[in-house]
Amino acid sequence: MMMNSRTWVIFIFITTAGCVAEYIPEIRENDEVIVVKGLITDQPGENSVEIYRSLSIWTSEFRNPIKKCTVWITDDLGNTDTLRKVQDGKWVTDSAEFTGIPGRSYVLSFTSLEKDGMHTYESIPMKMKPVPAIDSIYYKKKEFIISHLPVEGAQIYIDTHDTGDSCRFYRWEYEETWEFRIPYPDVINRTCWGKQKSTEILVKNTSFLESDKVSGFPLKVITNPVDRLLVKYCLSVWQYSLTEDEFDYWQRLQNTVKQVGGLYDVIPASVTGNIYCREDRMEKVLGYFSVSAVKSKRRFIMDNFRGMNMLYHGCVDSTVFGTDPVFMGNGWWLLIDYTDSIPPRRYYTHDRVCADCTLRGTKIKPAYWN
Amino acid sequence: MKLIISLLVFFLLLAARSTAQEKYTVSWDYGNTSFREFVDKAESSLPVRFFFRDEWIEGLIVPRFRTCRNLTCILENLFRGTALYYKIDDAGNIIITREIALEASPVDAKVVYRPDRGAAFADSVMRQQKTQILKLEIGRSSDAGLPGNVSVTGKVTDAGSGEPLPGVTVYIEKMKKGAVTNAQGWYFLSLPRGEHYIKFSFIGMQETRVTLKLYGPGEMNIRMKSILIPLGETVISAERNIVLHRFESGIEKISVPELKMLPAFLGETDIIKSLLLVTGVQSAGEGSAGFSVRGGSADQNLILLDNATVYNYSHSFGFFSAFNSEVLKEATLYKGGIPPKFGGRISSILDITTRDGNKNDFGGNTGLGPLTAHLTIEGPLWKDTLSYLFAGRATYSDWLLGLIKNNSIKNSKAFFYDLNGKLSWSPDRNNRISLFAYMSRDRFAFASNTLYEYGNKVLGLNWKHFWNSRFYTMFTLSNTNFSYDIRQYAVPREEYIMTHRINTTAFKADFNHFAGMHELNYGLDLNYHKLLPGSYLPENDSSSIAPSVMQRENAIEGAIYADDRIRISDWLSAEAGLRYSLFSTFGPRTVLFYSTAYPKSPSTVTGERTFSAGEIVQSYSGPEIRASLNFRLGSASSFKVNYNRTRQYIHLLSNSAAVSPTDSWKLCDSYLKPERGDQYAAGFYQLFFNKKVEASAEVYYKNIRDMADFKSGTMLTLVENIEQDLVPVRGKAYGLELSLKKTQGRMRYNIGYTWSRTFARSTGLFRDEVINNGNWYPSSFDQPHDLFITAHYLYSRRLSFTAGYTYITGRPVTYPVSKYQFYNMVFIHWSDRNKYRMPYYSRLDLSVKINGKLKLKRLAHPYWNISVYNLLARKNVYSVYFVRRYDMIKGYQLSIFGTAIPSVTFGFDF
Repeated sequence: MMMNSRTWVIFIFITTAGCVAEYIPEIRENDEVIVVKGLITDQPGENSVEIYRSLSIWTSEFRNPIKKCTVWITDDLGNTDTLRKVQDGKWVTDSAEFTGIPGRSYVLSFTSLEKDGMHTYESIPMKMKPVPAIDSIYYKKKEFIISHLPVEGAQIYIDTHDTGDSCRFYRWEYEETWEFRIPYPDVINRTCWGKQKSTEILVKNTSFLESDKVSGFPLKVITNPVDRLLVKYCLSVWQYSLTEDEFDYWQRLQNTVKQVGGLYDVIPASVTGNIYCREDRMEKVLGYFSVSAVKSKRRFIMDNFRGMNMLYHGCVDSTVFGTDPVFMGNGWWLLIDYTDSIPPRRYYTHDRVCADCTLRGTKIKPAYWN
Repeated sequence: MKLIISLLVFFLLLAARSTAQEKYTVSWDYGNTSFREFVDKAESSLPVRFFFRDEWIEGLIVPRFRTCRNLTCILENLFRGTALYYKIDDAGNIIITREIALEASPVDAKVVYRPDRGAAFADSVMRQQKTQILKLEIGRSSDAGLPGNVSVTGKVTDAGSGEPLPGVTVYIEKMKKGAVTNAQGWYFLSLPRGEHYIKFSFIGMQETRVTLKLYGPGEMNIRMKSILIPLGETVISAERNIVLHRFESGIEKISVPELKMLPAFLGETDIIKSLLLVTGVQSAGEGSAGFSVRGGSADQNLILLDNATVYNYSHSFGFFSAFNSEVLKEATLYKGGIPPKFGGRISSILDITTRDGNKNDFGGNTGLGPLTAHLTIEGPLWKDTLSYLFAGRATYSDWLLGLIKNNSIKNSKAFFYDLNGKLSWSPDRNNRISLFAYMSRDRFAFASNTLYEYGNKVLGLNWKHFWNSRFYTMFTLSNTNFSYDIRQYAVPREEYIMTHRINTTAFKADFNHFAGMHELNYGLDLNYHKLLPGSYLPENDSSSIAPSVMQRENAIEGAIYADDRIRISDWLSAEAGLRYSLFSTFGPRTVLFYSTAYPKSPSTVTGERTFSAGEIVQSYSGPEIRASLNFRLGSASSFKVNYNRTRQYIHLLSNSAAVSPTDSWKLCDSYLKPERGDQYAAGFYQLFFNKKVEASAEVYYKNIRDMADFKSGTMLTLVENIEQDLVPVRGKAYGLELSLKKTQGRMRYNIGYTWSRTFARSTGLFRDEVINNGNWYPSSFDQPHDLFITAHYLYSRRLSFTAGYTYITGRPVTYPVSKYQFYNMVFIHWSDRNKYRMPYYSRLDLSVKINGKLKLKRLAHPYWNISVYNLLARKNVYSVYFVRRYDMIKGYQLSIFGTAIPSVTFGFDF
């Protein structure tokens, strides 16, 4: 048996290790580049093209529209439609003249006065692919733990399929509408409708699947403790067809939205789309000119979800006993008037949100609400 | 206490000492000379030879002892009160020992050791006593009067194993002339006829001194005996003069014992991490897998394990190396001056060899570290000819992940293991055959719905044959396999398993001729690559994923090489080499054609061509010139220049700063061209302080063509036509590397400073293929200043300290410069690539090793190792990232080891 030198055990202390701290890098530039948000569809109505510039990271401002542009769309048959400016940074097609047709290709062009003269920008030709209808939008109840308490929420899925196996690349947008009610009878505005548009990239490639079929694509999770599911909820979904190039663009954009800068993360860089500057092919133009067929569908949800948070808990800031007239002055709103019960009392709030639903929504009932 | 024992031993010794040696009368004035001068004088005037270790007598001055007229008296007085002892035998050998006194018995020296001293040391002294002194004659004495020089060559071998000894210094002190043995142990000298006194020295081997009467050309083969080699460990490198003699600049040997001396992170000795203590080598980040050599990317390093390619060299996504340090023999990093026998990668070759099993005794060891447990067994199957070595290492804990402040990682599970096996057979002196196997495996369950598995499998057969003393061949047949599987369960009914695999079968034949002034190497290197870029299959029956398998890639990569190392004169030697490499991919394969007016994308495909099985799709070939010159400037310095061309036919598809084991490999194809690198380097090397301190300065300039980068945001897995995402890039790098090293004595240090720059420039034609407007930009490895200092201080046999400090300029990063709203979302517009820099990296580590009482008869020898990683608790930035918070963009910095991490290790030797 040979002699050997070996390590036996061992104990180790570790106090704490990793940590994350806020970091403000010193950035010495402010590069404002052109961004295009253009979308034409096969649906009747106005198609809009927005042209604006990116803005400094550290502002909370977002609008930086380009004011002077000539914008036009040409198709593969040689037709040209010039778009009309409706506001700074926004141009629309004439709804009577222009509707996209699946199978056709379209090119977006515009001119803009830049520092070194007039620049012409144009997209690569984009072919409109047909899109199948949405088969169904459905949800499953799902339990979440929010501040240590189980709360039921909804996971909303979407199904679609293309019998022609031709679409393969999909993008969805949605808009949520929900009716909500302030639980106090005597507030100034009690019932309102809230609205919110999707704020995430929802794309799907089915070319890895046997058939062009999307089943159970997780579209949206409602976990929020607000009152979306308390009364009635509606999800409107638009389903767009994409070309492989556009799918690629959205996916690359999605990849750069994930945390970037880590060692195993992709080296970040701006994702450019399908629009080029004719005078300077290297100029970075952000955004995309999308040409898609679209189908939409709506789904209402009226159901009981356990443990939904009462958003209006703790609204009562002052209770006034008696029936004498009260003048609370500015900034006080009546919640409940119990002057005719015993003891007579009135509840007031200092927070207008508790008394006026129009701060969180609109009093106008959507046309499709019933 | 120590002093009392010393004195006691001393008096005992005094009593036992014979007076027979008082015959050595000292007749010269020795007063106030250094001990070395005294020895030189004594050796030249008296029939005595001294044996000692240089570090023991450092700074020792011999004063004038008034009453002393002979050697014994002087040594007696000189060593009184020190830890040194001496012994003079009848032949006039004076053996100086430290802390162990030798009994003055002339014939069979018995070692008297104090009970608290290690036995291994006494053993070495015993061996040292038998230091070889040879008297040899070559040629006929009648030729003595002939004019001119004659050549002497020979082979130096290890008397124990018969292995040739490379790097042995052959030196003739009087002529200030010498040589170093080559990889097969050969040396060459050109000397005038007459008597010469030649020293053969090598760390770990006892010095051999030859008195040679040279009358004609001839061969002189030397067998050297080893000293002080505890079994199972390897003492290599620390070749003091070798740096002067090597032909090429930019070669670094990593010795395993030295490696074990470094403060190890969490107790794991790591060969890959130790490379970071080589100038010109940088890591991509703390705890990440790749390393960059002279500004090259991580996939430009070829890792060879016993001559077989290893594709993945890390465990746990880079925290640990995939090589078990228990089986390593040595590692050599070629960062410049790559010999023609190596090729296939642009930046560097890391040549790792494993040791053979013990041919004499059964042995084994086991151990338990904070993260891993390991077991090694070895021994003879047939004594002296056939041995085996098996080693395994596995994790038993993944507590480390819990420290990372990221919930997904915290909830992850990590497991890895690696296995090594080797059978070594030497049927006779001329044949050595070994069969080896290596495998490593990682399982990493990420956030409970993704499972990564990856690993290597390597099998190799190696046959070395010595045809005669001047001709040597080596054949290696190997197969190496790397694969990873990713199982994803996140989306119901779309559970999938994704697999990537590369398999390389290689045959290498190396021939070595030694012919005096010339040393000729030539050979063949053949590789057959089979690559499965990716398969995407349903993970279970309910999954509706359509099975898809990407087109397989098949290729042959071959090279022939020849190189001649010529010793033109004592002060000039040269190496001229050529490697001609060839690469062909063959079908079945379908290649797409694109419109040249637009960037390559699915919509710009104009046609395709299908190649049938075996049909050549694309071939590339080209010469690779390797040349160097070495000028000796006296006995302690040299100057070298060299030029290197390298070609690389395989790419790692990565668009992140660090490489990950789940990056895919890709062979060159019709669109992906081979990378070509040219490196011009020069180096100056100087030994100081009696050749104990080695200083070097190297400069290099590098040019790399046809590197591959990828469009922003591209997914690089399961991409059938990678040319659509390709951004062709050129690279250049230059730098200055300074190092100062002392690898012996009580105080040892290694200081390195590198100043280097690395740039890249995209050469694409279209906007998406252009980075930073096509201008040069700093590459992700551009870290101009890199300083490291390690110091090791041996206070006593029981107490030693090690400190290590590192400073590196921050990595270049890309920061957001503006933001824009798009479809109700906020996106970032980024600055030019790598325009900004992260804060600098700085870290100090300390460790103290305390040995318990070193009693020989004790079963186990305990020791404590106390170390602190990142003593200054600096929050070194691992990465900077940006997140959207509502409408604002916020920046965060992540530090992985943001505090001092103390660890205490208790261990014992048995």
